[in-house]
Amino acid sequence: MAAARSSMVGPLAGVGAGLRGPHVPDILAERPAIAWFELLTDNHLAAGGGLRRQAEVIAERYPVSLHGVGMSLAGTDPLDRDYLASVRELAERTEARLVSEHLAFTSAGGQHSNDLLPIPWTEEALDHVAGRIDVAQGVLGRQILIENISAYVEFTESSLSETEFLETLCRRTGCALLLDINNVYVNAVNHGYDPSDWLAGVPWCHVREIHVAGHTERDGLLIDTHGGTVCTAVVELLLSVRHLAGACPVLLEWDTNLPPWHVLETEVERLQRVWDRHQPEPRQLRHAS
Amino acid sequence: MSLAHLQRDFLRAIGDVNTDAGLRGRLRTGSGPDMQQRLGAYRNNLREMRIKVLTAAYPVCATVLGERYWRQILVNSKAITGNSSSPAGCLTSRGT
Repeated sequence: MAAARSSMVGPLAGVGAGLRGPHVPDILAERPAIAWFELLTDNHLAAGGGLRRQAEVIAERYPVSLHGVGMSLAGTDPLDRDYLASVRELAERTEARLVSEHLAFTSAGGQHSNDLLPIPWTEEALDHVAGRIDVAQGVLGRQILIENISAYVEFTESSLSETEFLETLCRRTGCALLLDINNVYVNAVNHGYDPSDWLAGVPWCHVREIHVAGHTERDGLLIDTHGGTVCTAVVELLLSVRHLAGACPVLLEWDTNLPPWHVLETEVERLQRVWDRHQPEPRQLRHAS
Repeated sequence: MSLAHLQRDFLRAIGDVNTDAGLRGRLRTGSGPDMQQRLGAYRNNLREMRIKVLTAAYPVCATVLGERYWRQILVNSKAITGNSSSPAGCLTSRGT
């Protein structure tokens, strides 16, 4: 039985895996040497019950982070403070190292979408989202990480670039970034620009975590399905920022077409080997600012 | 138009293929897939989520009818594919 690689104290490091319910029995039985697990916040919020216990059992054995979809930080319906309080309680209970959410809205006019929906990059949206992040961080009592989403549309009224928007958000609110490299790639292909150009605008001093995942092509668009291994182009993009990412933890997301645990574990191990092999010399590392 | 209006129009447009008027001129149309194809990505996500919710809510129906037939019934339903006047609106509505 292998021990987890990461220490149970200190920051997250290495390549982790998103925890999915069907894998839990194998993980508990085999105790795989995965650096850390990301828990989907919304699955484990209810106090008591099997799913909460699942989160607690994993958190007793591995370092964990929380990744949510329900805050609607860019939404215009009122923030759900009960929801935020529940996230805080779960984060404390699991001693989550990081708590992250998406730069998206998930409801409007009381209607919920169950999807992460995009916003225009405008000053109005910036002021609005910054205010909500301030409130969210106040209730959570900690910094949150904001993830760039896959967006299949772009708005004509955008007056800022996405990276300018993200940088200003971090500076104003003290939040950090969860950089999803697959989303960068998917958006670049779908909207016809070079993902390296987008990455050149990333404020790396604010990046605290990186996500990678698989995607699918459908009707002429790349869809962020999290349904397979990470493609070569996304791995190459990940490695192109290796020297900028420093010690950022990396996470593999796999949600649809969920394979048996050993397949997902093999993919995490592959990414860990590649990540380790491209470790930059100390002089190449970015300077923290 | 405000962010709140835009978000309501967006949600309406992905819930019902016939109500995207509020988004016209507000989405960039460059090369590649057109606006309807791009909104279709969200509509498909919504449809799949509704199927998932109904399958979880009615596991006996899904089992008795079989996955293929059950799914076909849902896919053929206007309640799943998007119609704002349909009762399926309640599937994505959280009471206040």
